[in-house]
Amino acid sequence: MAPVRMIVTGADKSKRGEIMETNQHTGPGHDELRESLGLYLSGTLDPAEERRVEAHLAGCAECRATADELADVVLLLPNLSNDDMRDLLTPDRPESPEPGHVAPFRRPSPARRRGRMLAPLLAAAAALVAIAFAGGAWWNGSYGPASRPVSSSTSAGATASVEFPIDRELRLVVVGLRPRAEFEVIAVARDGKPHLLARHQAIGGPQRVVAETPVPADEIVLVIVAQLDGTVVVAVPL
Amino acid sequence: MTVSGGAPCSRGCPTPPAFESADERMKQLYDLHAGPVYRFLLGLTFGRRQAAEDLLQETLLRAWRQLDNLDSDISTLRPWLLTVARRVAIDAGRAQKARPTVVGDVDLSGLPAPDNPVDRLIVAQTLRTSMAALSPEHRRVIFELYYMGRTAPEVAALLGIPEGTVRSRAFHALRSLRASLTASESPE
Repeated sequence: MAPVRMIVTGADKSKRGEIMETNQHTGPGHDELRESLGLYLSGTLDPAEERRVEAHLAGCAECRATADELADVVLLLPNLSNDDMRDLLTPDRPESPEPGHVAPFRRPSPARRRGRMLAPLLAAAAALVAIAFAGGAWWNGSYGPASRPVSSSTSAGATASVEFPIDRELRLVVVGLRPRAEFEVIAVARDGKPHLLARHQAIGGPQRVVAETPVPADEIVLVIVAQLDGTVVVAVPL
Repeated sequence: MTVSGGAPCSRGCPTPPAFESADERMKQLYDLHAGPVYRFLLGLTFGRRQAAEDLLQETLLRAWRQLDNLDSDISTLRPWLLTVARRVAIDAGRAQKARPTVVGDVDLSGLPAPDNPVDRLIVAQTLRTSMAALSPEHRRVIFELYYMGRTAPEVAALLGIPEGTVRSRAFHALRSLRASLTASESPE
């Protein structure tokens, strides 16, 4: 990374600024302090070491830039809950990039898992009956290779089932929309890009949507049904 | 360093004092930077004024503690103040278990600020994908430090690795995560 000079005004200060930058980049402790930035941002350094890092940041533009970059990542972390993270640590996670690896972390207790799963399952049960009925008739004869419906629900009782009978053709059945409420179907690709697939007005009862997807089916990781005001009705992770 | 930061003066100007008091420097720092730092924090807190004011106070408190280590030219300190302000916001978010915070003003190129539920879901999904791409060792250290709030010595003892390894993994895990997040945002 190119060295970054501090902005200083006046000849004397400019010279002093250069010296300060040089000393910070080559002086003892720079590499160690730079590597401490992860701990600094976690808030777990002891106060003395934290002050040492902040003092270093005052004179090292390179470390400041790195700290800012890492801080932006840390600011995103609350978007995943502790349970989300635990799931990512469990060895039976199907999308694990290290097949066969056994993460050194105990699985959540069965009781906790039941607690997380039970409410949405119960809420979904009645709606799934309706979906199975409506969808079964609708899908008749249209299944493509290796595609099976994936369902999800919310505690508020909304339920959706997503299927790709053929590549790039999404079929959705959603229950729980307010009659006449306008809603959108959004597919989120693996790269995080959202794609608006459809916008409709709910007719009451199971709502069925067929939409072409701009990316292959196996690139889609999440389907969201949302009202136009941004309220999420239901999200289906794939 | 507490050398005076006065402008160059032609003959006849009064000689500035060799040293400014800490109070004078803090006043100068406040006058020059409090407004922009506050506006930056307003962005981080989705416009919550009280929260932004609290974070500004904490940021200025840290500046006060570091005053002797800061450049005597107060006008140059804004980048450092913004770096510290980010860290203060992270602490506050962690303390409140607030979710989510924000992307910030920097280029996580196009990752949407999660100010509505749909964007929030999308950011969460993107983060989940990027997190899954990390090595299990990096994921584990992020979990213990940032989600469980364990200190480096505690994580080292828990995982049976040296404390320096925890430090190194925390740094490189965040860098990898950022690389993955920004790569997922690159244009098609």
